[in-house]
Amino acid sequence: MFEFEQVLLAAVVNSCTYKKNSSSAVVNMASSPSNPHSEQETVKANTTTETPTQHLKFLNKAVTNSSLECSVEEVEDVKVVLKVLPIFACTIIFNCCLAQLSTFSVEQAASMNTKLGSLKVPPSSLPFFPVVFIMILAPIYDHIIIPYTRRATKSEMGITHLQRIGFGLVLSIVAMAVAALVEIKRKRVATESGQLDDPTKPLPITFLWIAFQYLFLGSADIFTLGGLMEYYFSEAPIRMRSLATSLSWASLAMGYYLSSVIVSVVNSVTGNGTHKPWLSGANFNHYHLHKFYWLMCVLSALNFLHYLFWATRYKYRGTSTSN
Amino acid sequence: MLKPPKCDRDSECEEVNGAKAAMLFVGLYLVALGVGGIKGSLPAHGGEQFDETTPSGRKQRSTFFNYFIFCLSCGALIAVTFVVWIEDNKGWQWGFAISTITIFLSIPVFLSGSPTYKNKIPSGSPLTTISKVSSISNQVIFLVNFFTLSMKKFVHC
Repeated sequence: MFEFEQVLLAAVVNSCTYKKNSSSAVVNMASSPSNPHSEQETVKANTTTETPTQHLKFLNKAVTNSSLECSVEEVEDVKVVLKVLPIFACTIIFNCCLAQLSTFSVEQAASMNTKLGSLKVPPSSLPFFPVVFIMILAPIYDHIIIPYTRRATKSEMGITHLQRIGFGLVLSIVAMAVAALVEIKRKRVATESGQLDDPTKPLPITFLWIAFQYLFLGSADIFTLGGLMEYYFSEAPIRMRSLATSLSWASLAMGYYLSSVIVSVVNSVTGNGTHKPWLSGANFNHYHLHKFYWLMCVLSALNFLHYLFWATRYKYRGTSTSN
Repeated sequence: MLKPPKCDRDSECEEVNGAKAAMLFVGLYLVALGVGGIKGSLPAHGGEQFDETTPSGRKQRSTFFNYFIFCLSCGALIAVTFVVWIEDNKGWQWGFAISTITIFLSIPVFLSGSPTYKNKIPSGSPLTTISKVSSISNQVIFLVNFFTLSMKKFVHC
């Protein structure tokens, strides 16, 4: 434990010494240009009047240690970063589920009957579904759901950022379960029509079944991605805002990468001995894709519990949620 | 010029190599760099425009983030319908051409708002950019230091 403290202290030291060179320029950005005096005032207020908060106490050593010369504000900023990181980590699995949308779901739909009336929908147009769901849901969410919850809870936010992100995570669990059920149905149709070994002809089942999993994942996207961006933006120290907001995209990238890692791990674990790997076979119908979806469902559920652990312990910064 | 000879499932396909491969990967990484830059900085820039000291400012900011996602989806909708149709029927080069032209058009549109953007000092002093860059690099340096130090500790323990 002591070593961990040392590491963090060292990190604080580094951040402080680097900041010294440009602190005036940075504060300049934070205060409005029309009020040149506010610059000194902000600095003074932060260095003299505030006392460090009581959580993550060991970081406060950086303030009392005279050789480190860290201001209370700088230490508090480091605390915020440490608080945000677990929430960030919890959204990676969510993005991993999202990655299935553009990989296996497209393959599923491509094997089905993609005719809509006389129009044949190309597989590359399938992301059409989540996109349309988001376009319908975003205004509904903003103009109906949020004002309603604001009235119901009599709070400014209506739904807190973390509740919103959590709801998105729950939707992604449901989406994976739905995807597994749809895949079971698709496979049954393939077996019944005797097309298990003939992937060239489309299956006699409409691809609109895939729309269900897109519906849940699409709405999960508006809850979690939107929630994350706002959460990072309002929680991060002013100097780190753009960096923090782009964390939601970093989580997306890590989720997509993790998705291919999980596929390789699943294949190497299930493929030993006499068994065939889940995600390979003569054609797509021989994959055990529904098992993979169930696995993702279980992983997301565990991830959600992990998220709850951190989210229930989280304390918002005072600036944007109270006052 | 860069187009490979036609091939289908029965005939052998020519693998991309040399200068063509370099061109392909440079293009791919440039796209990654550009998209990363835009997607990373736009929401933060937009969020800065609102007055977070008042409840109505914060509510508007919340609306902004929702509509940011809405607009991302609008773009994606055009991409998966119109641009996909162009690519399937007219050729990939036209799909890329349309995307490139759209991005080019968006630059003057974005810049035309510059006089009203909030985080810009009206005099257009280069300090803005420098302070922005230095503050971001400070954070990056901090994070890198933090991670390398913790990694070092983990390795030594």
